[in-house]
Amino acid sequence: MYVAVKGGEAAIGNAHQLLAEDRRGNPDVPELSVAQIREQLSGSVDRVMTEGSVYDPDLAALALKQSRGDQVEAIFLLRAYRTTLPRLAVSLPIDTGNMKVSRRISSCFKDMPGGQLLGPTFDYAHRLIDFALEAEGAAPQAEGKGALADHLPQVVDLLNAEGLIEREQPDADDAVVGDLTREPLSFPAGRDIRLQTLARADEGYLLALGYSTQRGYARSHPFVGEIRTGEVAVEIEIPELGFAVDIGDITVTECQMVNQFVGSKSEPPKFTRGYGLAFGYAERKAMAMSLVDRALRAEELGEDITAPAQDAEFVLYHADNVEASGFVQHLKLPHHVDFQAELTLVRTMRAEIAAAEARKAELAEAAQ
Amino acid sequence: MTTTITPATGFDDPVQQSQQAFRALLDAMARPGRVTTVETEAGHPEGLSPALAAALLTLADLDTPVWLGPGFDSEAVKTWLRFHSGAPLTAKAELAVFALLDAAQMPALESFSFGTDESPERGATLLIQVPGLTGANAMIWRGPGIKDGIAMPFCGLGQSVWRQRTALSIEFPRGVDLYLGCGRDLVALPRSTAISIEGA
Amino acid sequence: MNQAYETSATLAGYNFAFLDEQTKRMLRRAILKAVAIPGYQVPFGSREMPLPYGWGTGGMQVTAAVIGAKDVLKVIDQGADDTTNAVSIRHFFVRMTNVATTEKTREATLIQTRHRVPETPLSEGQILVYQVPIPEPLRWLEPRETETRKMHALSEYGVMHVKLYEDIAQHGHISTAYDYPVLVNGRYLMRCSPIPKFDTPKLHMNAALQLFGAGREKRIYAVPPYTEVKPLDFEDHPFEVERWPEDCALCGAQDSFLDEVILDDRGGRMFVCSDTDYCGERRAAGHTGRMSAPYKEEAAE
Repeated sequence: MYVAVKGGEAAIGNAHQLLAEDRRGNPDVPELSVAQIREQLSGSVDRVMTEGSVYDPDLAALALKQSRGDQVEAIFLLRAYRTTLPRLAVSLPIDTGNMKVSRRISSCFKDMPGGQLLGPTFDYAHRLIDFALEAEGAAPQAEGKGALADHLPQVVDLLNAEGLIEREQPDADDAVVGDLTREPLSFPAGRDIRLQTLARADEGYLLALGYSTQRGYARSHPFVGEIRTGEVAVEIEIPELGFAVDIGDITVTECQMVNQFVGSKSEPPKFTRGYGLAFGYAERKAMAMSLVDRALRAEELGEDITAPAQDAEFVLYHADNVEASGFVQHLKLPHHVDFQAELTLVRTMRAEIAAAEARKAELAEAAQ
Repeated sequence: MTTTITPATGFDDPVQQSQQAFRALLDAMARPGRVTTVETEAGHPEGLSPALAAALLTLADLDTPVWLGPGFDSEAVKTWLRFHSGAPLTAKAELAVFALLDAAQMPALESFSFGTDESPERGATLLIQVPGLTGANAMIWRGPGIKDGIAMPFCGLGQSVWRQRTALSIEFPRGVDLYLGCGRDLVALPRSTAISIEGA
Repeated sequence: MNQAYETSATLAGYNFAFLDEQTKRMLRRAILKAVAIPGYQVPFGSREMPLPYGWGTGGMQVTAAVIGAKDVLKVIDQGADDTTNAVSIRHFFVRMTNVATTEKTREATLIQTRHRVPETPLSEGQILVYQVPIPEPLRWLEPRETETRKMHALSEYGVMHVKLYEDIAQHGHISTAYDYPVLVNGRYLMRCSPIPKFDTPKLHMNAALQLFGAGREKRIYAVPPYTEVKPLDFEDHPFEVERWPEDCALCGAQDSFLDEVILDDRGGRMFVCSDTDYCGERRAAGHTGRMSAPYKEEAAE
C-alpha cells in the first residue's frame, strides 16, 4: 500500500526555523547588530546597495544580517523591498564635479590640477592576514587625512585642450531617460539603459567581462582617466518652489576610463571613454563597469563586434544576479512532470530501436 | 480667466473597485460580443457612461496619454480625468494609448496607432460611447473568445466605422481594440475578431 | 492542513496583492493587449517579487493583477496542491489578499499552475495562470530576442518545422516531450510553458481564459476562451500524446497524466495521477487502483 508524501507545508515551516537558527549561529557568541554590520562590513553593504538599487546603508546591513552575509541573497531582499516603495520624485543628475572627495587618482597624468589623493585603499597594502585584528582593540585613528577642494572638475575634461579625448555629449534637457526598473529591456538599448543595467549588474560578472577585454576579447587599451570616491548631494526639484532642494548626501565611486582608439570608418583616431558608477566605495565594480560600457559602445563607434563583452544582448540579458540566481536555482524545484514526459519518450524510442534491430536480425537469419 | 471646476468623484475604494472593474474589462475582452456589466460604483462626469469611466479610472495613469474626442473634450471630463488618473491629455490622436470617443462623432480609425508588426501591443484602445448595445443584428463576429459566431447589432456606430474596422482585419496583428460602452454595460471588440457584415 | 501556516492575516504594511496600484495598472494593460492578440508575447515592466525569478514570479504578477477579494484560488505545481512551491505561493497570496483557497479544480475561480493543466475540464469564468520560465518558442533555435521578434512579426516559423522534421528524419519521432510548440489562432507560434505534451490538446478551445506570465523574461501572453491552439505536426507524423503501460495505482484512471514512483532498488515502480485533486475526486467516488487503500477523508497526512 502506498501513501503519497504530503508534507510540503510543515517542511517549509521547519526549513524557515532551521534557517533562522543557522543564521544566528552559536548563541554563546554575541549577536551582531545592524549598526556593526553597517560600520564594519561596509564593503558588503556598499555592494548590496549598488546591486540592490537602493541607497540605504541600514537596510542593506539588515538584509546582510538576514541573509547571514550572503550578498546575492541580500541584494534580492533589497530589490523585493524596492518593488513596494512608491516613487515620490526623480532627482536631478548628481554632480560628481562637486564631490567631497576622499580619494581621487588618475593613471594618465603624473599630476593634475586639484591634486591626487590616495585615500583609504587596499591598493598598496600587503595582503598579510593581520592577526592583531583577532583581538578587539582600540579604534584606529588615521592621521594625515588629506582634503582637496570641494569643486574638482573631471581630470579628463581639464586636460583635453587638444580635444584628443572624446567629450561626453549630454542628451537634450527634455530627452526622456529610460528606466530599466519600469520598462523591460529592448534592443537596441541606449547608453542610459545600458549603464543602468551595468550599475545593477553582478560585480563578478562585470569583472570577468571587463577582464576579458583586457585579454584581447575586444581589446580597448584602457587607462584610468580618473577614479574618485566621495560624497555628493542629491537634489530634487519641487515644482511648487521652483528650485532644487538638497535631500541628502550619498557616497559614490566614479570611474572614467580612457581608451585608445585607432579610428574606424566613421570616426578619426582619438581617445574614447567608458564610464562606471557605483554606490559607496566600490572601485572594482566601477572600473569593471567602465570597461564593459566601453566595449558595448562598439556599434556606435563603428567597431566590429567580435567578443562577448561587445554583444549587448548577451551582456545585458545575463547581467542581473537576482534573475540569474533565481533561474539557475529554480532547477531545484520539482520537474518530475517534464522528466516523466521525457522518460516516456526515451523509452518509446529505445523500444522502437530495439524492435527495428530485432527485425533486422530476423531478416538476416532468414536470408542465411 | 480661470474657472475652477470641482472634479466629479471617482472610485471610493480604488484598490478593490479597480480590481472589480478590471475583471469586467478582462472578461469582456476575453469574450468579444458578450455584454458585460461593470458592477462597481464609480463616479463619472455627467454624460460619460459609468462603464467607460470605470475603464479609464482602472487603466489610465501617468504613463498613458489619453485623447479626448469631440463631445468629451470638455473641461469637466479633462479635470476629472487629470484629477483621478494623472493621465496626460494629448492633442495628437496617434500618440494616444486610450481614446474616449462618441459614436456619433467618430474620427477615422486610422487616426490612431495600430502598433507595429514587431510591437502590435502599441495599438490604441478606443473607448467608444454608444447609444445602445442592442438592436437588429447586422453582423457576425468570429474569432478567439467566441465559441461559434455571434450575431451583433451596429450599436449606434455608423456603417463606415464598421467598414473601416472590417477592413482592418488584414492588418492583424496591427490594429486597435475597442470597448463599446453604454451606461454600465460594455462590449469588447479586440482586433482578433473577424467581422462579416450581413448583406455586405 | 497546517493551520498556523495557512491562516495568518493579510500582512500589514503591504498593498492588497503586494503590488502597488500603478504596477497593477501596467500589468492589467499588458494582460488586455495579450488577450486581444492571442499568443503574442507582450513585454511588461516586470518587478522583483519576494520569491526568486524562475519560481513563478511571472505567474504571481499576473495573479496579483487579476485577483480580487471574492476569488477562490488554487495553486498547483506538477499537478499537485501540496508540492512545496505551490504551498509557498498559495501562502503568499493568502498573506497578501486573504482570499479563500481550494484544492478543488471545480471550486476555483483562479488557478495558478506550474507545468500542468488540471485533468478536470475548466469552465467559463475560470482563469488559468501559467508560470512560464522561457516564453519564446524559438529560443533554442535562435537565442537573440532581436531576431525572434522579427520572426514573429513576419510569421517566419520555418525553422521550427525544419527542427521537428529533422527529429523525424533522425529518430523517426518528434523528440519534444514537453513544451510542445503550438500555433495560436493560426498566427502566433507559442510556448505552452513547460507542460507535458499530454496537456497540449487541453489548450485548444478551452472554455477558460488562459494567461501566461514570464517574470524574469518580462513577457505576458494569453489564449482567450474558445481559441484554436494547434500543435505543429506533419500529415504523416500527426501529433500524439504519451501513454503509460499501467493505470493510476490509486484511482485506476486511464485518462490522466501519471507520475512514476520508484518503490525500491529492484526496478519496482508504480504510476499515480500527477493531478492530486483529480485522483482524490475519483477515489472519493469509489474508483480504485491496484495499490489503493479504501478511500478515507484526509487519509494522507
